[in-house]
Amino acid sequence: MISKQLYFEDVNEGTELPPKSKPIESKHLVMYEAVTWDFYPGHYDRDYAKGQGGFKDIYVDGPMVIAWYGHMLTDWIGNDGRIQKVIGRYKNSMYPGDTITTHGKVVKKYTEGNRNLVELDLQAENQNGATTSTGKATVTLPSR
Amino acid sequence: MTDNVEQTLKNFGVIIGQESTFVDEYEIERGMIKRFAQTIEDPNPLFYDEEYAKNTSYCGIIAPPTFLFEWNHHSAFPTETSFSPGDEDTTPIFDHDKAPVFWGRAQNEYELFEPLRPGDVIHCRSRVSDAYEKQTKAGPMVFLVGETIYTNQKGVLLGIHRETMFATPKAV
Repeated sequence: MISKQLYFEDVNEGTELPPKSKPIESKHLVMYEAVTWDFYPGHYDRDYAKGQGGFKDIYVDGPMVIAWYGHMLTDWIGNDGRIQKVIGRYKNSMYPGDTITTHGKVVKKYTEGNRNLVELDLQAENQNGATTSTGKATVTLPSR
Repeated sequence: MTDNVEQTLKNFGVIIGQESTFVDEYEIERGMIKRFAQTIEDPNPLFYDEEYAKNTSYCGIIAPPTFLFEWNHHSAFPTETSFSPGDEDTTPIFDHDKAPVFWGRAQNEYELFEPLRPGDVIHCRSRVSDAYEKQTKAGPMVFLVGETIYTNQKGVLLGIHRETMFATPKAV
């Protein structure tokens, strides 16, 4: 939940975002399929997923992790910050029973015209410390 | 273009640069936005509380940032679910099980311009913008890049989605 506005001056290279943890249940996969109208069976049919080879169960739809990055970012930038770009790359499958934690770290801050830009590296890992996704984001922040 | 790239494009029935357009017949509703926020467990009132949202710089409810790019799962690529809610014809136009390749997502890139709001009607313009072959740890792999440009009913640019898919021959 957003508590206070973050300003450009509050941020430095190396600043880390408060991480977010998402315990995943089967219902979250099914809800995501329904709300995005994407009924790829690997995300809801256990036999189908296992039959594909390489999957131990139904697996999380990749872009869901970018939605979690979005949650972490919107909370951090506050109502006056804006996300310009967010990228997610997929490294390892995510399954029901996993707890996925998203992390973000400032890698660059600069001003372009009247925009205060901040670039971030993103990462998602499971409860065993395996990286399930890496990513990048660019956001703008207000100035004091 | 390598033979593998050519064959993959043929398997998917896509031509680089060929554009398709799609306009939903329904507008984005508050309920859809709230359901998406609930699914990703984001309790931010900006996504459902009009009183709260109208007193922010957004002046009203907006959708979580990635909802636009997942809306109706419209994609530059043929999928087994490329149909609209309410369509009677849900015949798969791409059958994963019969395809000679396994394909999956490598990366999604979302560029955001204006927030998606209740009442917006989304227009999509999609094309496969690039295809290339690369050596990976798992052997040679073909990558396809699809691009979708989203505008609303007023012609305002909301976002651009670039999706990279990979394809590998299936084990026989």
